[in-house]
Amino acid sequence: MQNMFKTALLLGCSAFIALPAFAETTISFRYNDPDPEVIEAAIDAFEAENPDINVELERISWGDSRTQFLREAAVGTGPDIVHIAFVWPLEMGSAGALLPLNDLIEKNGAGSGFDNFIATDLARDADGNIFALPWTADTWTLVYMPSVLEEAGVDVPKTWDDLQAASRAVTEKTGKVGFGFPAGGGATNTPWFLLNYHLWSNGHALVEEDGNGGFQVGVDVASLADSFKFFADFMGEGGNPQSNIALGGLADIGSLAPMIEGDQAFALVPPNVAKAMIAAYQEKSGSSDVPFASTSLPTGSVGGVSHMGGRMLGINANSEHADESYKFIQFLISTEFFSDFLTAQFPASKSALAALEYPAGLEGYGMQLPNARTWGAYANGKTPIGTMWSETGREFGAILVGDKTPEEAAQSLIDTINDMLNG
Amino acid sequence: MLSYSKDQRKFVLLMLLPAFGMTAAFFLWPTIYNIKNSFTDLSLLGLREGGKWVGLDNYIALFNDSDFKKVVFNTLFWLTFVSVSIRLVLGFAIALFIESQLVRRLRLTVPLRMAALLPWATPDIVAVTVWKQIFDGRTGVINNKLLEWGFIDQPIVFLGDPSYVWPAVITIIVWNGLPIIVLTMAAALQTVPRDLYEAADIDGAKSWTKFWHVTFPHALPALAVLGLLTTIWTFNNFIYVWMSTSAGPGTFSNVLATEVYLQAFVNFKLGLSSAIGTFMAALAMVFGVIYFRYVVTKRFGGLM
Amino acid sequence: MTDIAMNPPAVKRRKRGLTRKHSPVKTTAAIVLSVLLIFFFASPVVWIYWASFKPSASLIGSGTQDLVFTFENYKNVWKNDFGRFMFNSLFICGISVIISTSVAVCASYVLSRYRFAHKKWLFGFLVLTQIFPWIVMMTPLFIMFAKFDLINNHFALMFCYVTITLPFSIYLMVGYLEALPIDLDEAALMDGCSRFQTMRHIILPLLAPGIVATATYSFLLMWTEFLLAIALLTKTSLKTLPLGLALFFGEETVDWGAVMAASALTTLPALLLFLPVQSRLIAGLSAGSVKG
Repeated sequence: MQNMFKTALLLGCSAFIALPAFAETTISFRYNDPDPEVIEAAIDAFEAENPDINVELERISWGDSRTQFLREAAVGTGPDIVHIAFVWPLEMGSAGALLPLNDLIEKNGAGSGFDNFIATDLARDADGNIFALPWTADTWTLVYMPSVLEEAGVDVPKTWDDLQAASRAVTEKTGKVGFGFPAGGGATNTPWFLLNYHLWSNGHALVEEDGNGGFQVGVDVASLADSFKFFADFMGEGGNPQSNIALGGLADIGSLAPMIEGDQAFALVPPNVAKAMIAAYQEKSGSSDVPFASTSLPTGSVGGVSHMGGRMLGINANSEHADESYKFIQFLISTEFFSDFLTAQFPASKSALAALEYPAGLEGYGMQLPNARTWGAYANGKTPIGTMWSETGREFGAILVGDKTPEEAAQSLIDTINDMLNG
Repeated sequence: MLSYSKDQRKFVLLMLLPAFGMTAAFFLWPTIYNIKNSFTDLSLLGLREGGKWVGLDNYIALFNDSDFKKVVFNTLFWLTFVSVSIRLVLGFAIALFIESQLVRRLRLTVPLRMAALLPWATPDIVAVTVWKQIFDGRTGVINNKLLEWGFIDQPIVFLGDPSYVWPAVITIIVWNGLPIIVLTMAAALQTVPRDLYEAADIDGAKSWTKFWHVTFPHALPALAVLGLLTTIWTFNNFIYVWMSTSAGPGTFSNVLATEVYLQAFVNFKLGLSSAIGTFMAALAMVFGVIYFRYVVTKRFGGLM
Repeated sequence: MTDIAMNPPAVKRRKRGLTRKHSPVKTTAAIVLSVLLIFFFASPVVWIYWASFKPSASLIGSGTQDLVFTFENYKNVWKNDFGRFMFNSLFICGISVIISTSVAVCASYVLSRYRFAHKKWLFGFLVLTQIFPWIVMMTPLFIMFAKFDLINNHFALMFCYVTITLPFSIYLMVGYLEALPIDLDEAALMDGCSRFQTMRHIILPLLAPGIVATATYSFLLMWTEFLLAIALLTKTSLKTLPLGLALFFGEETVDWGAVMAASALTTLPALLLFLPVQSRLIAGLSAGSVKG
């Protein structure tokens, strides 16, 4: 009995002493995309390589993630590593929520060098602080249904004006949807992207640098009104059914269905949506055909310019385990991670993107990515993109229901942006 | 009222303390903090440092907004008045129907109650998602049936056409929010002493007289409570409008609560959103005071 | 008055109600109306359940009518920790609803039965707590809970849930209590019951329909609550069902089959819990024991 007691005591003591030696550091990673299994598998591999680090996966929907992290960071809590959109690092950095990574990058390196990442202007502020590392890349491009184009006797559009003519022709000749897009209220992101693409393709921008270290509105009322009008003209006869005004987003059933059922000629979508459409078509038809093709964006006077979007990874300024967190980030941005685990996404590095082979149906993204620009001056800290985006959606909606003329809407949007720049 | 002696006061206090202690602990500080913030330029990005005092600037900005009147009208009339009236009247009527002797005899009371429980147990985001599909122009069942039966030849854009937006949003609210009225009123009707009906029967009273003199007075306390709180909750609700139309098309269906959401979580202006919130609280308080004066104290003077 | 409460189930009353004649026109109208009401309330939910068994792709566009059934969506949802979320929700809401209802019964009984100073203000205070829009309260509440280090704590969320349901529960319960004659209490006190016994043994049984209605209200509010939960719970293992549900509503990609299955799983436990309570309530009450 006494022996047993002694043994137990001894065991207990040794466990106590041994504990610190095996101490694991637990870091938390908040990941917001809908495929956690992939990340969980990657975490297992990482933990096998680094037995002293334990990674805990947290998830939150994209819609709530920004607010939640800003709140948490302000009161000193939150996950160690956050998954953030391209336009967030600078504002989160200025709010003191993200840890500047400069020292960690200097000590440990970052992939094939920081300059090999795309969109570095959105990660590094004017003082040189790097608040996040670009992780995945995407843009939107034109997806089309060759069978519908053939039926209507139209060619793949090269310019924005071609697109408008082709969309109208499809609806007139076949009764099908031409260029269909969700055109609704403030929270719908499509009008925001479309309007900017059209502006950029014609050499304008809502916000640009003024050359003296400041920012200014980069478009006049008439040109902005033209862009508004260009998209408003698609409604109804122009090929985008009136009912699309009630769609919330590209993932709505009402947005996806006409493409999948062969009732729509054109859509402008990000790769995730294109993949979802292909998958749904294949599941429904039971074949492995890819019914769509994709190509680069229609061009305006200066080309066809889309946005360089994507996600970055940052470390919480409150994190007590910055070194371990950075180690995990290095693993996430590695080439092996994209070849072994996150195969469905495009890596945000210049060399990797150049070497990438795009699957059937998605070839257009490969053509478009070199012509994508970052939000650049839009992310200047004074003009929150969320605000500009919801205002754009609202002005566009006001045009569609006849509350405002395109000129009034353009004037009002420019005034709003000027107020923010000067306020 | 029951009388009690001084040492039995402990009983009264003990019964009240948990409820009021917890409620105060929860609501007091956030309320004061909000009112204070409404006089600052606090931003979600500057939460750590706190906001700068700007006096009445947020309120002035609010009242100078050209859309403000329309937003207040939308909130008071469409979102609150219309949707609450429909729910109260319809809800009470359905409760009377469900609890009526005829429906009981037909053994339909239980199925009706069970059916009414379904929308109530549905989270609001699910309710909006499902109804958006029902209303959809291309795949929605309502448009498909109307087209099939030849009532219309173009789909109706329920959530995008200004003449249909409010009726459509209110339909979603009513579907999701009617059951709470129906089932609470059904329970209230069950507490009406049956003897009173029997007494009325013996007196040979008509059903209308019975309703007016027996049922209604007994159901009124619960109805009054539902009226007050449903009004306040609906007035403050942003989910239905935000999820179904995101205040559109344009700003056509914008209400105060969606504006609070937009300012706080899209534009990050916590100060301005607190000011709108405080303004809303003031409006709700005016309503509450009037309601108390003329409905609650009149009906239950004895309670006070 | 006391004898009513003491009465055994009065079957004769029920019979009396049943023997009344209704015209065939009225009967038909009642049946038609009932069917319409059941259709209006139930069809969207039935559609969710139906759709949750369809392959995700078939939900996009026409073709939902095909008779292909699959459990794929449920498997998908289950893989995303829904079992855990459901357990958490049941645990948090179950305990909170018991506490909230008991606390509300106590407070409302006293509010309805006793006269004391400043009662008006107590009623006013309860309404005051409801007048600030929830979304404005979220940030300060988060800061408050973070200061006390109560983020990722189930008990903190329970405290929230009890408090947010209290004001309406108390109001509602006072409403129900007002319909019960005070003579009952007086008689019981006269018979020598203590104040607590009077409440517990005389009033509580009579209040049953009100208590069930209040508990249903509280439970369903907690069960579908999203804003507080998302602010206070960030660890996957601690999350509740509405948070799990929100993960399926993406901006760019939506797996509609999974959304339907997740919605179905979110509503199901609430229904399983309350359907029997509601139906038993009627069966018991229409027997007439509780004067109703």
